[in-house]
Amino acid sequence: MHWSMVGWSHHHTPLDVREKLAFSTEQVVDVLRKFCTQFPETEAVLISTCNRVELYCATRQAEKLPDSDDIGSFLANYHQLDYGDVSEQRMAAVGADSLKHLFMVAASLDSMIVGEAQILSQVKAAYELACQGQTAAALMHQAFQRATVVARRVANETEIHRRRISVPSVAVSEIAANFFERFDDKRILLIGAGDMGMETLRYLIDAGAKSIRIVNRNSERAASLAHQLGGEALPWEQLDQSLADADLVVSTTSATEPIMSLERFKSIRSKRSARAVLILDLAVPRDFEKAIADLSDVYLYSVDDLQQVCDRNIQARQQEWPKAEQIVEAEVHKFLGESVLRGSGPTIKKLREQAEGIKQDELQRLLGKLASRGIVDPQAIKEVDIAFGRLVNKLLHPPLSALRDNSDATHHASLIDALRRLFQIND
Amino acid sequence: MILVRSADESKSQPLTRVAGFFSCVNRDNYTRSLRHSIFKVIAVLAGVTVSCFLLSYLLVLLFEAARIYLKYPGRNLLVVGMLVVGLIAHSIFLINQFSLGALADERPQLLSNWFQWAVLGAWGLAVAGLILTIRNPNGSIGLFLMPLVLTLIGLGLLLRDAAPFHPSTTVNLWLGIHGVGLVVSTMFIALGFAFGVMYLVQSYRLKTRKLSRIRIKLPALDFLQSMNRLSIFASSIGLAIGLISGIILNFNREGQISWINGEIVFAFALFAWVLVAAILELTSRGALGGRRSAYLVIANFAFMVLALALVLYGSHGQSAPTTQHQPHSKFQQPEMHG
Repeated sequence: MHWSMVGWSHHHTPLDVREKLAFSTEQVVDVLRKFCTQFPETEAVLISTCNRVELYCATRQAEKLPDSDDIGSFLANYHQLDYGDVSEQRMAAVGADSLKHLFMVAASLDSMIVGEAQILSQVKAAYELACQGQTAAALMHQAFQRATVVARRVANETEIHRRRISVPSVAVSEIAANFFERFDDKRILLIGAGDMGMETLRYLIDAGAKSIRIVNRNSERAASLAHQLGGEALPWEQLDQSLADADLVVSTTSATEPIMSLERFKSIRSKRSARAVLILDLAVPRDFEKAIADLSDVYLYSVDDLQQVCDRNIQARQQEWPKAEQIVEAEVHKFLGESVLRGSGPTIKKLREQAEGIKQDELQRLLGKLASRGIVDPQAIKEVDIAFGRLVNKLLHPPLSALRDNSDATHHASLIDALRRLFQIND
Repeated sequence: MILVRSADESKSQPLTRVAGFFSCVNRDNYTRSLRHSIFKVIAVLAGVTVSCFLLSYLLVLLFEAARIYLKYPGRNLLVVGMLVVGLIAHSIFLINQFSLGALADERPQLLSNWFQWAVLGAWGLAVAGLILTIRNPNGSIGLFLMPLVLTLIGLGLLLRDAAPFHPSTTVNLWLGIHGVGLVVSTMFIALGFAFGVMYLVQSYRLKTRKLSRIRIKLPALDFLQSMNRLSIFASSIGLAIGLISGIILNFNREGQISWINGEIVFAFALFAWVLVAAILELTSRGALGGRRSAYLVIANFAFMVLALALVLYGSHGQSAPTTQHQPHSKFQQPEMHG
């Protein structure tokens, strides 16, 4: 089994080049079909996301595996690009390295934001596309199935995926989730209609939020956002009343001065019952005066507070990285061992068949001789058959054990070769 | 003839007497193998002691505490598993204490002494702990609840030799309601205390933005607040039922009640406080938010501990010292308020 990978990723390739090399879903199916026509007996899967374009190839025979430059130029030519212009940023890996790269990509260890969950589904989608186009078969199935296993192991055994690193996701998953057990019965107020607020609302909606109010100076923008997210747009004049009703406030206006002073908030607070309120002030500069945080029933988080959590989480992810890499390397080693064993299956099968043939020939010869001497005891014949079988198994046991115990690819290949020569096994 | 059970006798396992009961049952109705199986089961059940569930709960506490410093796989499963094991042992022990005594030709001894009262209260808290741990697997609830469970069991063990509340073994409806009402209110006050402390810790962490720095995980703040409210209302209802049934019980038996008795005064003071706490929780629009509820439940607990200390220091509900197996009727000795 032989694997290789050629591609361009965010590590060495700028966005404008990646954009030129990117493939749409239809193009992926088309390019894979053309690739497999040009390089027959090669299985291929193409992963194309905003951060990477990578083609994975697998063959049963080393000589059938296309050269890295051939693959690179094929992909570049598909987009009518000069390969020379993009060859410098191209990355390539063969054998264990290509598998390691695939596993790292699937486990989101090679992502721009390490630990982001989206990449695994993109890897799976790429494999499914290849299956639909019949350019992926047993070899790719094994590799991509194992890639999914590796991604799950990394997710379960390390903290890489557990720690969020964007401000909106941290605000919802680490702060709001510690404040509210459920969001479907909470009144959420978004002040301002910026991107950050919108992203935070999306996380809140994913967490179950239903009652969403949007207050913005630009009422059209508020209405548009409310329509988009299934919320209710309110005029700016109703800000105080909306604040009095809200359980969770997300504020993202672009105001240059705080929109909420301590005095104004105190008057709003008197209209609230004894409910505590969580305020996520994601605006820069602040929308809520800092002194509001001192009120006993107000939990006020600014962007700086949330960014500190993000930074700690990034640091924690980095600390987990070596552990995740160890998992990947162990899985690559295991996978290669297993595929080497799978590759020696036909030789072992032939060896067993050959031994069984010899056993049967010799057994028949012996039985013929015994019959000519009048020895036809069925029990004795059965015992002889069992003894011959045992003899064959005992003779084959040491070489087969040696094969199993030496699944290292180089060593294993030489053992297989020796086995073929010694036992005269022909393909 | 009604016998007063001495302290030593109350410690013995009724299940062993149940075994005797089965051996006397009409032999024609039971096959030999069935009897043998019943004996084996009873022998196993009779072997369940306080140490069995005490150890399980102690391990739950240790596992919960270990979470702060160690990350180990299957920790939630371990905590829930150990809690289930403890509860099974605890339940068998309680069945042995309360129900199977009747099979051994004895009347049920429902909440007849401090030991049973404390062990039943601990059982209720452990059940609540299991439900809440399953609901909030990462909530470290056991860390706050198990010390209370263990304290109650410890209290029960300390008072194991104390004389029973009532010399009578007759089943009395008001006595049962009185006991259950007080156990339920104790349970909810203790639960409220645990949740009140959790609320204050979680609130502090959120206020000071130290969530990810402290490795302990707690349930969400609004869940803790709702539990505090539940504890305030449930404990006041339980206490009201317990007190009213206690008054009826005493009037039925003695035709009067000594209102100026210090313990009774304090019990009423506790009830009055819990009632005020419930009214405050219902009506107040103070500025403390959920923290007010947390302070109230912690105050409830402090009041209860004080009441318990006074009751234990006095002789509330306990019969006068009696000689072992000394026969007397319930009218021979004045019934204390239970």
